[in-house]
Amino acid sequence: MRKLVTLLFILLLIPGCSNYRELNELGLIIAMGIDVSQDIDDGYRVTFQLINPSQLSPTGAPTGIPVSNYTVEAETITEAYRRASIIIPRYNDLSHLSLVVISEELARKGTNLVFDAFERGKQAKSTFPIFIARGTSAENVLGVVEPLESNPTKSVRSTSENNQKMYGISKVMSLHEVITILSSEGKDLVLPGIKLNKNLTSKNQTDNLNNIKPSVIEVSGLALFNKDKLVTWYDGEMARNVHLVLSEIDSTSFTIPCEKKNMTLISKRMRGTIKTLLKPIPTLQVNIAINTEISEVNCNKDLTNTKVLTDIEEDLEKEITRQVQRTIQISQDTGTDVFGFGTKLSKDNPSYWKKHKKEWNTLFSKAKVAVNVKASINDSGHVTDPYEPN
Amino acid sequence: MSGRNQNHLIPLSENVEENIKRLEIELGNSDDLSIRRLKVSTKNVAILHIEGIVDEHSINENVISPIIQLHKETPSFKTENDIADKMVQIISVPSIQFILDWSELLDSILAGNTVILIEDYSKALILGTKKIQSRSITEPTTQTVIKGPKDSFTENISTNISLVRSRIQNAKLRLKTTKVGSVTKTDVGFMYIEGIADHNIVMEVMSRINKIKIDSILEANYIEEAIRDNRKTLFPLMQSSERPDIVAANLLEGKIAIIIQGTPFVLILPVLLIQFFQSPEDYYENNVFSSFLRLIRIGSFLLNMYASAIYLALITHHQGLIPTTLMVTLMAQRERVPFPVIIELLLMELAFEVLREAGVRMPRAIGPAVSIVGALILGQAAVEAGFVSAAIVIIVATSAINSFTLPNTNIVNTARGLRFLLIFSSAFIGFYGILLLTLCILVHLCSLRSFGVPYVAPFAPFRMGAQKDSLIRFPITSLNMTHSNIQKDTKTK
Repeated sequence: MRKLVTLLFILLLIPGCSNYRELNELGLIIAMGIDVSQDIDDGYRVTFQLINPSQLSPTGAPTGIPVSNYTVEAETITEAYRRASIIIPRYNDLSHLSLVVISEELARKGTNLVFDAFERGKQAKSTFPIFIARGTSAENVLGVVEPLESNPTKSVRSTSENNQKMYGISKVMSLHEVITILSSEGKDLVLPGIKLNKNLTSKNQTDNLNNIKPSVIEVSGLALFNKDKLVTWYDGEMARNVHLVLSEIDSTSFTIPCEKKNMTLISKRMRGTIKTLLKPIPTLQVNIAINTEISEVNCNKDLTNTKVLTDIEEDLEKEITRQVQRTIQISQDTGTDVFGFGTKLSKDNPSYWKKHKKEWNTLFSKAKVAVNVKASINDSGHVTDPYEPN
Repeated sequence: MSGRNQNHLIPLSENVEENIKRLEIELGNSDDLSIRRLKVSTKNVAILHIEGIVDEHSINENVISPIIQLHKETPSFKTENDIADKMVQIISVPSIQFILDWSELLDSILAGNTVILIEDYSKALILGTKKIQSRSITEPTTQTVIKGPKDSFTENISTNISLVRSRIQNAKLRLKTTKVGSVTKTDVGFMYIEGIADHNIVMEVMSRINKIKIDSILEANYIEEAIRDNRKTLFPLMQSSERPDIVAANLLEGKIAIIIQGTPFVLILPVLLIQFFQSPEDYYENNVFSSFLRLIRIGSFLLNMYASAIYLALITHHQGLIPTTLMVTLMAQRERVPFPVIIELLLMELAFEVLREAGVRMPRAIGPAVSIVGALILGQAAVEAGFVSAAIVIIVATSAINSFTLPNTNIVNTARGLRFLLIFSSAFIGFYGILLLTLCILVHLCSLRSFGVPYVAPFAPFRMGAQKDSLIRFPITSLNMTHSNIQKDTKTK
C-alpha cells in the first residue's frame, strides 16, 4: 500500500503544473495575419483574429461580428503573441489556429524563418494552411466579414477548398507541408493567393453583411517561391496546370474552341507524372492522362460520330499540351522548380544529382520540355447531339 | 447454533403449571402467547403457541381435536409415556420432536412451533406448525425482463427455497439452514449443488457464516458485509438478486446462494465482475442480439463512470482536442455561466443524486410531479437562466441514463462513487489524472477476490474457454454450462 501511494505521488509530480483553464477565460485565436512592420526593422506586424463566441451561439440570432482582430508589432512572432496581451482581454489560445495569412510584401522580402515559431511552439498544431495575401496586407484580408461565411477564417478556407474541388487553382498547403518543401532539395514552394474582390465600400464593417454585392475573399492565383522569396504569380489556368502536373487536383474543366465558338469538357479523373531524362540532352518529361466528359457544346457537332470525338480528343490534347508547356516555361524563366523535377531526378539518378545539384537551377532553366497528354472522352452527358433551334 | 445455553442444559419441570408460569415470565406476560389446557385421562396437558406465526387452523384440526377425541375414547393410561406415544400417533402435523431443554423449548415456541406439555412428564413435544405470514409471489421490481419468468422471491425463506427447488429438481441440490443473529435468530438458508460447487468454497462460506457475531439480520446486506473478502472496496463482491431464475442459473454454474428470512434478496457468491453486466434475458433471447446488448451495457457502464470526467478534462485542460466548431459552440454556451465548470458539474451531479434519492423515497402518487419539477423546471430553467450550460445538463443526463441499463444495481453504486473520484482527478490534472485513477482501479480490480475467485476472471487470469460467455454470448448449445469461471485460488484465501 505504501509503495502504491509513493508511486502515485511520484506520478502526480511528473506532469508539472496543471493548466486548468476555464472556457470563458479563453481567447481562441483562429487566424493570424503576418505583415511587414512599418516601424520596427525586420519586425512583423501581426494580426490576431479571435473568436467572439457569444456571436456564434447556436441559439439566438447573432447581433454583431463574430470575430475581433488585434494587431501588434514586434520583432518576432512569439514576441508579438506575448505583447498582444496588452490589448487582448483573455488568455490567448493557439491550439485552434486554423489559418495563417502572409502578406505579399513580406513574401517578396523573404519569409525567412517566420514559420519557426509555429513549428517550435507547443500549443499550435502544424496542420493549419498558409495563404499569401495578394497585393494587399494580411490585416485587410482578415478584416472582412461576408454574409455567407461571417467568419473570415472559415471564409478563406472554405473558398479555397471549394475552388480546389471545382477548378484547382488553389490548393490548401499546411504548415508542415510548407516546411517540408522549404527544407527539401529540388523542389520549390507554391502557395495559394487570396485577396479581396473589391475594397470595402463603407467604414462600418457590418454594412458588408447587408450588401447584396459584398466584398468577399477571392482565391487568386498561386505564388511561386524561389527558396523563401516570392518571385511571381501563376494565374487561372496556369495555376491549375501546376496541380494538374502534380496530380493534386480533384476536378477541373477545359474549354476548347469549336467552330468559332467554344465547348467545355470536365474531368474528374486525371493523372500527371513527371520524369527526367538526361540523354541525349536533359529533358523534363510530363505525362498526363485524362478522362473527360463533354459538359457543354456551343457549336453544332455530330457527337455520335467517333471520328468527331477523336478530333475533339486531339484538340483537347493539343490545348492542354500548349498550356502546360507555357506553365513550365514560366517556371523555367524564373528558375523555380515548383514541380519537383529536381527531387525526381535525385531519386532516379542520385549520383548525377549529387554532382550537379549546385547548378540545378541553370540546368532546369535550360532543359528541354516534353509534354505528352493522353485525353479520352468517356461520356457526353444526358444527350448526344446538341439541340437545334428551328 | 441451536441455543445460547447449549452447554448448560436446564431441565423442564414436571409440573405443567410451573412450566407455563416460567414461560410467561420469560416472555414478559406477552399477550400473544396462547395457552390451551386440556385433560387426557387424569393428566393435565397444555398446548402452547404464539399467535400469528403458527397455522392456527392446523392446530385446531390436527392437534386439539384429536387430543379431545383421545380423552373421550381412552379414559385411562398407565403412564405419561403412553400418553406421549399415543399423541404422536394421533396428531397429524409434519414434524414432532421431543425435547428436554428449557431454552430449546423457548427457541422453538418463538420460531412458530407448538409445544405440548404433559404433567409428570420430563419432555416437551414440539410440533412443526410454523406458518409465517407473507405476501404472495409477485413480479420482480428491481430486475425486470421483457421475456422470461415473472416470479420473484418473497420475504418468506421457505417460499424462496421452493422457488429454487422447483427449478432444479435434482438430488444433488443441497440446503443447509442455520440461525444467525443473537437477538433476531434469523433463518439463513444456504444452497449449492453438490459436485458442481467447489467444496472448499462451500466450507469457507459456511465457516464464515457461523463466525458472524451480530445481534440482528434484517436484510441480505447484513450478511454480505459480515462475510465479504475485502471490506474496503467499492466493488460488490456478492451479487444479490430477487429473481429465482438468476439464482438457479448461478447454482448450476457452481455458485452458492444464501437465502435469508425476511428479505426477497438472495445472495449469490462467489461473483465475477462480468456477471454484473449479464442479464438473465441474455439467455432468453437470440444470442447475437443479446451479445450486442451486453456490449451496450458495458459501454454504458463506462460512459456512466467517465462521461463527466472526460468532458471536464477536455474543456479545462485539453481544449486543442475539441473540433473548432464544437469548441465555439461550447464557448458560446459557457460565456455567461457564473461558476467554474467543476462547480457547475458537481452541482448538476449532486442535483441528479438528490432527484434520484427523492424518486426512491417519495410516495408513488407524486412521482410524476418530481420528474416534472426535476427535469423540466430545474433543468431547462437553469440553462435558460444561465446558471449552468446546456452541455453540462446533456453530459449529466447522458451518464445518468446510461446507469439505468445495468441489470444489477450493486455495480451502479460503484460507478457513482468512482465517477466523483474521476471528476476530481480530471479537474486536477486532466486526462493524465483520469488515466492514473483508471490504472489504480484496474490494479485494485485485479487484486480483488470473491471467496478466493479472481474478480476479473476470465480476463485476468485469461481463460479462452470462458470467453464464450463473457463479453459476448455464444449459442447455448456451444456453451459448456458448468463452473468454468469458478476456479480455486487457494493462495489468496
